[in-house]
Amino acid sequence: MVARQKAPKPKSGAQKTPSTRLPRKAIEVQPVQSAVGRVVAADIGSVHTRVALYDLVEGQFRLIGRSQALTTAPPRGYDAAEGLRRALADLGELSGLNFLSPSRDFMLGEGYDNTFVATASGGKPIRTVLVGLMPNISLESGKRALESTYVELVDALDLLDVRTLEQQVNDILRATPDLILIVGGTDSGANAPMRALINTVRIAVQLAPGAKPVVLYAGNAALSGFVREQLDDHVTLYITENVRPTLDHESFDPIRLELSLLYGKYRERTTPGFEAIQAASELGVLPSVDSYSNIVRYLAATGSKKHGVLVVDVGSSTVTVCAMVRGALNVTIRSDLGLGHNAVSAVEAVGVRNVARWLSFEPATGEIMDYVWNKTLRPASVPETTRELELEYALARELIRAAVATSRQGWQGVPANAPLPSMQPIIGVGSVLAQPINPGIGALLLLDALQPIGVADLRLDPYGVMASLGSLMHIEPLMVVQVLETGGLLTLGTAICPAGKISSGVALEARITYADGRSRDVRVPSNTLRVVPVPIGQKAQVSIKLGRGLSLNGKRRLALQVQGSAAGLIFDTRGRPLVVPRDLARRAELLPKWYEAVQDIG
Amino acid sequence: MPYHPETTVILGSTKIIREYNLPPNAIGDVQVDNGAMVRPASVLLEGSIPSEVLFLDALKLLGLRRADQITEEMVQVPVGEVVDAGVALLINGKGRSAKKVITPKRARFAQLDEAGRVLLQTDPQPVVVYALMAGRVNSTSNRRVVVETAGTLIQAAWGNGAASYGRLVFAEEEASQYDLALEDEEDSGMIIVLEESIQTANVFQDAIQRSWRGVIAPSMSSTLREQALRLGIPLLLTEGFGNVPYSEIVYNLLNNNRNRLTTADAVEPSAWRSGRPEIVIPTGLNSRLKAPERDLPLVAGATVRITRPPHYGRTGKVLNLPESPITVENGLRVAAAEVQLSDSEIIFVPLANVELLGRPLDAPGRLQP
Repeated sequence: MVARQKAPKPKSGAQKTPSTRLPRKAIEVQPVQSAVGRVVAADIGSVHTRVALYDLVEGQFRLIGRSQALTTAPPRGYDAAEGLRRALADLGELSGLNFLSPSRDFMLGEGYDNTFVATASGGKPIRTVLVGLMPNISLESGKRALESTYVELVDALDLLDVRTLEQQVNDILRATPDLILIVGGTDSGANAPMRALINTVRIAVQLAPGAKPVVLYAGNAALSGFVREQLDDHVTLYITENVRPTLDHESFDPIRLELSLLYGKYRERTTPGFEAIQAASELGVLPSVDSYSNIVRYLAATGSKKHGVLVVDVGSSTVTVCAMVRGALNVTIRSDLGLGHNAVSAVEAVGVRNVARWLSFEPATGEIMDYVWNKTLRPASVPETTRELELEYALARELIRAAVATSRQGWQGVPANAPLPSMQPIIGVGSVLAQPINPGIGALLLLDALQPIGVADLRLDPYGVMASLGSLMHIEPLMVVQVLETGGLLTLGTAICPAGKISSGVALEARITYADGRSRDVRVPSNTLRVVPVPIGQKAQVSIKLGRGLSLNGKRRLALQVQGSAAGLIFDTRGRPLVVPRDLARRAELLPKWYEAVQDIG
Repeated sequence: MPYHPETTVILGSTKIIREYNLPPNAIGDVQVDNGAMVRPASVLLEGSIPSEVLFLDALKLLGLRRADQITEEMVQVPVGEVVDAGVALLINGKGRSAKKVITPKRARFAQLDEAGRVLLQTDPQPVVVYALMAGRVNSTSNRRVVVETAGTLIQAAWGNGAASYGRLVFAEEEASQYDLALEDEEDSGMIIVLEESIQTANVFQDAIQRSWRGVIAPSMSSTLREQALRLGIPLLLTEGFGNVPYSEIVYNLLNNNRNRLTTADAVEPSAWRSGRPEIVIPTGLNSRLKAPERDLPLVAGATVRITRPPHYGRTGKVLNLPESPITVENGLRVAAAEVQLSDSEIIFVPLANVELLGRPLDAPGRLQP
């Protein structure tokens, strides 16, 4: 557990930490009188198991420290609890507290003067067969619901399926699902077609050798009794509210909750060591995405209604997008995308050419596929050469782009091909974003992948705590609020991204006036990235005048206040949509300039 | 606090314990006793996997209109029974004009459902699990056998899913090996060691034409992966994909074991399943040898292998574990180890890019096995 880090110490006055300037009021809260004191939160990912310690300091909850160890679940390990023990041992050393007994049992929970919560994102996805009535109605709703947890969709059945009953049953048996999700039928809709589908499921589960799949029913409520009658004797059956009670209404919260709980039970059954973690945790082991959802809800509730909130987590085996758009929470997990375990399926999904377009060199034949195959074999390894690092950054951009594109299919009222709606903030999570060689690189990757328009507030989760922090909302919401405000998130930068395009000349003129009265004028040519420092702990007034053909929030002149940040104030006049040259020579000239620009904060 | 890197066992002499299981969907039994000595061709477990489900439309075959017209008298075979092909499960009527539901193949009569369909589970596919190496059975349960031996163990990076055994022969001396008189059938096949990375499919044709039992190579172009999966004999890559040479330590072990009977178990790695591709070269039981260490912290003095360029596959000895992060070639600042390579060059390597080799902490820090 060498990879550990002390959390930033609480500062005061001019030495405020970056996130103390989040645009919220809770900084003025009174000292806390809480039943919850010290909290240990763990997140078990595919590659790393991260732990964080939170406690009351001078009446406010703070992140006290964090640590991480390699995850020890199969295939490389044998017991997920061992990785947690190693991370806890390190956290104990760092904090002077003890979370393990001499025999290495967990000293977590009520009897040990702390509260323990755990989340997980790694592990084998739940093999799922989706059964629904109509492919473009109920099956679509079912797929959207499944996107909220870690599943692999192995087959889907619907009324229009051309396979014979015999083929359907054999296909279900061959797919060896862990879960069969049945959706379909509005609450007042026809019953007969649904009965036929449920009958198919009954035959398949009756004939399944060995462990039977769990069945979750979220269809026509009128058929709940029939479902029980048909399936209760053969499988573990859960029935929840109809995901689509009427044709024009979808209800995702109940089914998402059931899927979250099923995930914990599934991991407990399939991952050695999980049972011990599940037992120690106050809430069992929740999916990390549940945590992100809680934080997004909070940030959306405390921010401006005009803007959405976006969290993108680029992991080893999944890419997760959690977005609040027009008051609706959208959760998408792409279990086929990842930078480690799923690097191969990720490149197969996004295409080698799309990855190569972000490279300043011509990759050798098979180089990208060889690279990702080796990543799947050693997902914890990190690039050492510049060439490999560039490949990693190229992959990250495409993975974010692909995952957000999937998420956007469910953003109601926002056409999938329209520019990204205003998000305040955009939060990046994952090692590739949070631990690059310079904070500017993290900002660049987010800008390239998401191509925001307007004023973008970019943040990072530098300590990898968001995945577990949000689960504390279920226990002590104030803790989450205060931790986010006292160093939990890093303010990366404010990006000014005008809409429109001009081919040459000056795209933007700006005057940055610092709190001490100094000012600085910048002229940013078209197709350029330019960074102006705004030191952490300071604010600056920025007035902007745009060139003809460009606009910010529909205006050519704009004045705004920006917060100090790690990567600075970023002017991005590269235009939207961002065009990366196909010509290698031009790309080889341009890409290094972008990398250089975002790191040039002087 | 110590960092626990991953371990890839590469040891010249160690206790080797291998676990054999029936596939999860198979039904079967253990075929050996605890303590028994086994040969590579010994059958350890035997069973069967239920195959397809067949539906027969009993209503149509019996000339009926509704399921409730099927009476108990019509049912000739109890549900759940396994019957041969050609057996009448249901009969409606008597004599030559009787209508029948007949099994098309050997199958289990699984169900007569309420829609009047007969569901058959067809004859299961046999599954046989071989030892593939000489050793002693040291434990058994109803679906699992553990065999112990001693010798050389090399865990590889990738395998194509097949398994076999044969004599370990380097490709350049393969032709001369055909002249050897072979008395034992177990010795009559060859596991071929290719000296270089596989970059074309020609080697697969050679393997088939010359009846190789298995192939070991340092690496392979990932474009050949699909063909490798269809090869039918085990193919193991000791380093990974691309054009990567053997680690010195792996090459030397293979070189030192020419002509020995070798097990090539080319388990295809999975992100979610334990089990790694392995080359096992048994030398006979040796009670003094210990099993590989798989869970040690990284310490100064440990021998490590590097898993990423620019030093991919090189082995070295850890000199120091700096407290502070180190900036590597591309600018990343990471926790790192100071490592002395076998040619005495001293480099810093990210901790994430080193792996231990299964040696105990107090083993001599020799770089060569």
